[in-house]
Amino acid sequence: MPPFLIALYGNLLNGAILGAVYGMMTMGLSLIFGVLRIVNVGHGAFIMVGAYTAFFLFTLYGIPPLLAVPFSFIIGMGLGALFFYTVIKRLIDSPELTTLLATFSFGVLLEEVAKLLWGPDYRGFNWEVGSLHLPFVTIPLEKLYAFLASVSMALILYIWFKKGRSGMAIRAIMEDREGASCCGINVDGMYGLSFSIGIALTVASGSLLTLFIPVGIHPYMGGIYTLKAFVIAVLGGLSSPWGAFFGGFIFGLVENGAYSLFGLVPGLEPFSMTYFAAFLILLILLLIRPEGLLGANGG
Amino acid sequence: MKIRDLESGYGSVQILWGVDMSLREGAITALLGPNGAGKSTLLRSIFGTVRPWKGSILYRDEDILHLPPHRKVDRGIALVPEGRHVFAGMTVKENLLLGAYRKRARERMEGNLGLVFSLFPILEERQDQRAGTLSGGEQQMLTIARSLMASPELMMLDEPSQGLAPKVVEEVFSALTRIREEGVTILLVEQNVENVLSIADYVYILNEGRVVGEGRPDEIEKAGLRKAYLGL
Repeated sequence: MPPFLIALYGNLLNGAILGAVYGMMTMGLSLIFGVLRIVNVGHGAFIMVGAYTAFFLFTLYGIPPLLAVPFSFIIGMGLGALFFYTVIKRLIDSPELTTLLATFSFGVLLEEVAKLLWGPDYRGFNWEVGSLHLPFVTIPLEKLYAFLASVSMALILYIWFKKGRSGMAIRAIMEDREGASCCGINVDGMYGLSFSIGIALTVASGSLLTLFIPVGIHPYMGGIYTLKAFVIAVLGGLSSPWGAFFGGFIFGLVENGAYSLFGLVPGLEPFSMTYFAAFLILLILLLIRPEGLLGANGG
Repeated sequence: MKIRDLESGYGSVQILWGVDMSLREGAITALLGPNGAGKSTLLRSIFGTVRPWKGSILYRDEDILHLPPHRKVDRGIALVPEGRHVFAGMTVKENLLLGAYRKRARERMEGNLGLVFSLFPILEERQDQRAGTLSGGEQQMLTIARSLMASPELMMLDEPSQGLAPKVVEEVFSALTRIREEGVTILLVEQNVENVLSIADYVYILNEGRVVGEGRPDEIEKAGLRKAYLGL
């Protein structure tokens, strides 16, 4: 096989693996938008909290990042509930600008608190658990675990959404808020629950992302993930968490595939071009299928 | 249920200016009045989807004025909102199951499902179909059926005949009289005066946020209130 194809194959495989984590990273954003119609501009800051959680659990207590996921989830539930009941609950029916400013401010607040507590340095750690040797390509096992964890989380969320009592209630609110209220569904309570779970998923995904960024943990790391999550959410149809998950896959594949392709062009720095490719795909998709790949309500 | 001096509105706009009203148990009470009289606001304020400003709503010796909607559902109060608020992407069956969302209703789910299917046999046939694919009349039946799944003792309906073909309207109204036979108290808001006067036990007329007339249907006719306020 020519070396280019081997590289492409390897990159696509890695893209699919990272894509699952991207998908999980975006499910929380979509859930919050789908249920509350609120765009969480501070999304990336919650990812940063999850990354620090994994970092400190590993470096201080030797707890592997996979086991950090449940910790991060609980921290996320707490942060989400705190943010919801202090701020968001009052703003649910406010104009978009109000909620954009509120989520943006909360994100900045988290970043500044992180800088105050842990300083502005770049941090990272290595959790090495061996590799899986496939023909032509080697996949680090920790990344494969992150992939499996993301897929499992998505599956659990899916089953809860389809079969669980509160999951059904949340779907009912997404379909028709007044109808849901008439069924005796506590709409405010369900808003709080979906918001907290959305944040919890985001924080947990931040812990898994640490396995892909060996030295990339710092207070302002979230910005680029906010951007990526927005692209992925639009790919998936904005208000559908499942759409978001598949959008993540596609984004991971495009990002990593583009890396290989741009590497062929002399004089081009392939890494910086991957964003270009990702946003180009977004533009094309918005032109031909503005409702997202799975439609506006793929849930 | 006894409503005393109820005031309510949206934001700073007052719609209801002290409404007094009593509902007799097991009867159909109709609420008539021109557009913009505040009929829907009154139902929503009783149910709690619009927060009432002041007054009192006495129900079974308890003031329920400030209870949120889900607590009202726990006390057996249901609202069938204006328009067809079905969950379009879910099946008819799922819609009905969500109607029995509260614990009190879940315990009586089997019986209520039987009642609902006997009232609206078409829903039993279509139970695995998505609610969004139903006709307008069927969606209205589903909205009523979903409220019945909550095991209501008081059922409030906001213009259930709106936009329906005459034959379907008849079906809906005959269902309402059968629901009354089950012992359910009904508060009915309608534009369809002709039909309402034929099934109602008592009528209130609302205009500009105040009760301007009340009585049995024949009294309403005699007093000429119907002509004065409803233009018919």
